[in-house]
Amino acid sequence: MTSPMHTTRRAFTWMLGAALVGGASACGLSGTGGRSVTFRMGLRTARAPGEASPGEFTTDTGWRIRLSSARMVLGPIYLFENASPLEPTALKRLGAWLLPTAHAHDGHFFSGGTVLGEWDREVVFDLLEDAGEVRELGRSPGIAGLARSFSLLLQPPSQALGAEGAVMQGRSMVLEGTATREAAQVPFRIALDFPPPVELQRVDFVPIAVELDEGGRFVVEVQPHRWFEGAHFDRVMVPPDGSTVELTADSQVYRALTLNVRRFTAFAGTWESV
Amino acid sequence: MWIPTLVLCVLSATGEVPVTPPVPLEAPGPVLPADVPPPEVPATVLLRITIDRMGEVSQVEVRQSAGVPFDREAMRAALRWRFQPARRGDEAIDVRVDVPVTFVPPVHGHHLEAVSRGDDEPPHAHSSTAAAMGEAPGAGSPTHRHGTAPSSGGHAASDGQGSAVSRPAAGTPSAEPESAEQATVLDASRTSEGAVPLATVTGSPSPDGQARAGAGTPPESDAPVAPQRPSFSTTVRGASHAPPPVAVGDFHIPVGQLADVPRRSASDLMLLAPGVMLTNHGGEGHAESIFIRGFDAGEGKDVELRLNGVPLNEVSHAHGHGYADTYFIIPELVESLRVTEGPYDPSQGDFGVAGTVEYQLGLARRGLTASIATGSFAARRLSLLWGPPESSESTFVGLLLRQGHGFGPNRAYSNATVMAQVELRVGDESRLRLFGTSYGSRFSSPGVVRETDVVDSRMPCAPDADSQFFCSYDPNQGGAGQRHILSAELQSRLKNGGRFVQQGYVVLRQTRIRDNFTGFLLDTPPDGERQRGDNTEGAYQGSTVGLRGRYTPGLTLLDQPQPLELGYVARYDDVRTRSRRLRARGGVPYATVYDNQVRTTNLGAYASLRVAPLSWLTLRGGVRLDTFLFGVEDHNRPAVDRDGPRLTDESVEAYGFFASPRASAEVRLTPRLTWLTSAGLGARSSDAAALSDAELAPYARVTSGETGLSWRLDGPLALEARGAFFATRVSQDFVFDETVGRNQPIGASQRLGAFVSARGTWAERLDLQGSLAWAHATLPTPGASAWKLWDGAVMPYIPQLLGRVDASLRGTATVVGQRLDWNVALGHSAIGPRPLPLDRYSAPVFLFDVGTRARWKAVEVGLSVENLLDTRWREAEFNFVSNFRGPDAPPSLMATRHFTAGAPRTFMGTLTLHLDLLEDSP
Repeated sequence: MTSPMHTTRRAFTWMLGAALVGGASACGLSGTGGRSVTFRMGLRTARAPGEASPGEFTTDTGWRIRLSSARMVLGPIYLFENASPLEPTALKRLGAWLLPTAHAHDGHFFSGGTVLGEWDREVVFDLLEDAGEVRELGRSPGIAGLARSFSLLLQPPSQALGAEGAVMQGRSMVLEGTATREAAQVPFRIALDFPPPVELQRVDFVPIAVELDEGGRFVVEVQPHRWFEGAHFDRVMVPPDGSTVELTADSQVYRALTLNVRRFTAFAGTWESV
Repeated sequence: MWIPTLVLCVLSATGEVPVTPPVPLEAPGPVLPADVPPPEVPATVLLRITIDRMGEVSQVEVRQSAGVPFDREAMRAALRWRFQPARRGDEAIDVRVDVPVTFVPPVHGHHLEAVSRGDDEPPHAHSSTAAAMGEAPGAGSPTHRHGTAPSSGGHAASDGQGSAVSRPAAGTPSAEPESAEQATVLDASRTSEGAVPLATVTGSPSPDGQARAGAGTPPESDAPVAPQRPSFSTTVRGASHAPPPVAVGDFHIPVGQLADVPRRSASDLMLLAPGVMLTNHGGEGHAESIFIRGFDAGEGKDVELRLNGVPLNEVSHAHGHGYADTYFIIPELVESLRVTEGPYDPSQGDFGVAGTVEYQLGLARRGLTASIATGSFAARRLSLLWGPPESSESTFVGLLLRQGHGFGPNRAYSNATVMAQVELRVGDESRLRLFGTSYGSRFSSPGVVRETDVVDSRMPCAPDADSQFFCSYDPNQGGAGQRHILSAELQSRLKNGGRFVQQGYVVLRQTRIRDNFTGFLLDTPPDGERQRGDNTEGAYQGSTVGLRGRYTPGLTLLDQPQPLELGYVARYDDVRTRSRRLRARGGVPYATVYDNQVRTTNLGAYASLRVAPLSWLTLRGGVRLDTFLFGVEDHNRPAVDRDGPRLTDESVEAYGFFASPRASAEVRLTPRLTWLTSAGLGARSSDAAALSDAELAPYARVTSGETGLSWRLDGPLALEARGAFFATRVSQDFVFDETVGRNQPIGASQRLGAFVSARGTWAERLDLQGSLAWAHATLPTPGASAWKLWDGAVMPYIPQLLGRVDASLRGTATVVGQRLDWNVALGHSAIGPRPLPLDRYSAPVFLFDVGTRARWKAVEVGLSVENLLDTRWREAEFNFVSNFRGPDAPPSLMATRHFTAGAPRTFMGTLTLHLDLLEDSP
């Protein structure tokens, strides 16, 4: 609904503006440093190596997991300029062995350096719905450059999620499926909570090496096959009728999952040119 | 009202012994009484004045009357004139001269109008339109001199016979002799501040060449008086009281006819100086952020602001060190501004990093002026101004009430100001000026909005674009303030021609400002609780007492009268400055960020010297020394430290000093063209809140240099143009930190820039001023040479290109047989694309304000439209991290653009009554 008056005024404004810009700078950059870009943010459930389906994998304890339902509240996502200090390298391993370092939490969320990009929302992500395809979240602002780590938050659904968060019933993550090893079969359901403080909600320093630029897409890969490492379903007592077991916080599997989901190995990130 | 031209003829005596004529030092013009109807034609009073050996006007008589009111005012003015006495050889003598004083008919308001030549004026002498700033000789009018006829202020040339004299600087007179007789230039540039001549005075010599008594009491000694016939005239034009400029960027700006241009407040008058942009993120009543010369001077951290000599910058203010509010000043009472861009004058003190702005008050219109206005967004404005008819423009009372809903949510405001000043004569040698003001204000503030929320229509307002643009997040933002000022200034003339000015003042003020820049980002709530919000309350309460003074000995050095000036300042501040976080719900404070009782003593002194070793060269130099003692009592220390429980109070003291030399060289290239080069050091005191105990208080030091040209033309068409290049480097700059809601140090910064400005007046009907300024501000690369002023990251938000036009046209029409005065005024601001973070530019802004008025007898109606094109513009822009989604929402960690919306198109209609309130006849 643009009136001729507005059009004339806008043209006049831009004409004067162009004259001023030309006279003032004679170039398109203001010289303040950095370069603003816009890229897309996406989510995808990673397949375990050798698996055809993203909801099926085998744990290091030999249990075959088949997820029938998997949802989590995820976000925001932050991309940092600094490399992950947790990223293992041979030199780091040698150094740590020769000269052990005491680590203390620095208590500051910006330890990754400058935030180069972010998805400042949260989303309820169904890990199985898109069958390993990318679910695009939308466009994100960013600063062109090399991002070497990213972080994300796991938390209960906030009011800002509205109806979308209702399906989570206040939980941060809900997984249902079956764990099978040889003749043993454990139908399970596990609902995780990640309440504040934020230090216990963050997944920090996931290593990446992506060159952020205009028009690309950064995809966070959720790796559920890494979440069940060390989970001992054999310690789960299955009801005689074989019904689903509600795994609670006092179970070993619950504790293992709580730790694994917040490890930097639980997620990965890739850059795709779109 | 009208501004006069003063023409005075003074002759030396003839005879064998050379006689040096008297040199006028002060010549404030007469004031047309408000109770006297303006003359239809120029009315001339011919005075005969006797100038005694002390340079005083010892006697005045009327030789030719123009009516009792005019006679009386002319005589009143003449008694204030002061001269260097005439001399025969080395001996001071009495002389007598005839001086016509001409009252010109006004057109409307502050008028400038050409004056027709009086019958008794010399054929070649003429007076003409007064320029708004500074004076120069009439076009093509050579000036001839004999003997010693220096002018104070360093601008008078004293050439041989037949040579031309240039008067290029502001506030200097011009001489237009008719013949090669002895001449004296009347230079009122050193006269009392604030007074503006309001009549034309044409001088002619006494008809005889001998000493003689006037009617009544003769001079006590025989003395040569006037020669036989008029031989020349000397013209002093316009606002002749401005000190000579110390740099091309030193502007004395009489508001004059440009008062017609619509402005929101007296703060907007600063736009009359080139390279100035004002923004306001805090609402109607919050101090403006000043961008000047490539500086983001915040709300005063880098600009020294004064009102009638009283400093306005508030030390260690909770909203920013140097916070200075000029909104409370009644715009109608602002007679002139002196804007000194750069630290080039030794009288410039603390905060004068980017420059100094001084408001001078005065009310030219006598009588009562009542004005009521109403307009868009329920804006209402009532002003009452009263200038007692029997007094000068330095005596006035003003009342201003303003209120309105504002142009969007959470923008309501209401405030009231009273200003009063009286000027009293204390004996024959002194004047006492008493000034006081009281101000109270309350305002709401919309704060900033995230650009992404506006674009995506996520603001808590209607979804249409305008509602989103003008929306606000937090209704608990705003502020209130009170300010009371008392000042007494005593100006004394000394026996030897010197001057001594003493001023004492007391300032009481209290402010509370609530801002929320980040929403729900900074608070770390107790376990299990939600974020409480980042609304930050800056509270400030305190008092200031101070003294200022300057002494100008009556010396003469290299034909320069009064070449030396000594000055001092003494200021004591006792303030409580506190910052607290407020809950988003209810605005209850829940945490103290800092709470300091600050006591600061600033002692400073300066000396400046002006010499003219050559007729075309004037040098000025001076040095200023400032010392500060800071005493800070911190009331917000922790109750427990590593060693156990402790008291929550702690005191620190710090001391610092800084010497700042300043100098300039003025080369007169032609009679109208001057090349002026200036350099100087300046300083900003430390924010007491950032000091450590026993620290040698650091200063932000600024080094600045400038060179440029000034050109002027007098006559019915008066023009002045200036242009200069400048460079500046600051050792410690500050930028706004949204997390604490105030400025924080960022290290060194530097600037290169240039400006051109011009002002022209024509026949007292048109007043046009325009300026264009460019500045390039950067943060130097660490370790880089100080000479690499171009290198480094560009400082964001600081406009690189600024343009401004102010114009006013006045006229007279006859409607139904009735005389109708009218005017049309235009103000235009062009703000070039501002650099934004990440190599981006903001959109340019072009704003047009127009106003028109018509007056019939005592009734005047007016209409003004601000932002005529209804441009959607961002008054202030920032780039930072915030979270306005709510306490439960995940925060954004990436800086994004925020802005404060500028005002849309605004109408205001005004009805004004001019009541002269005639009192007793003279």
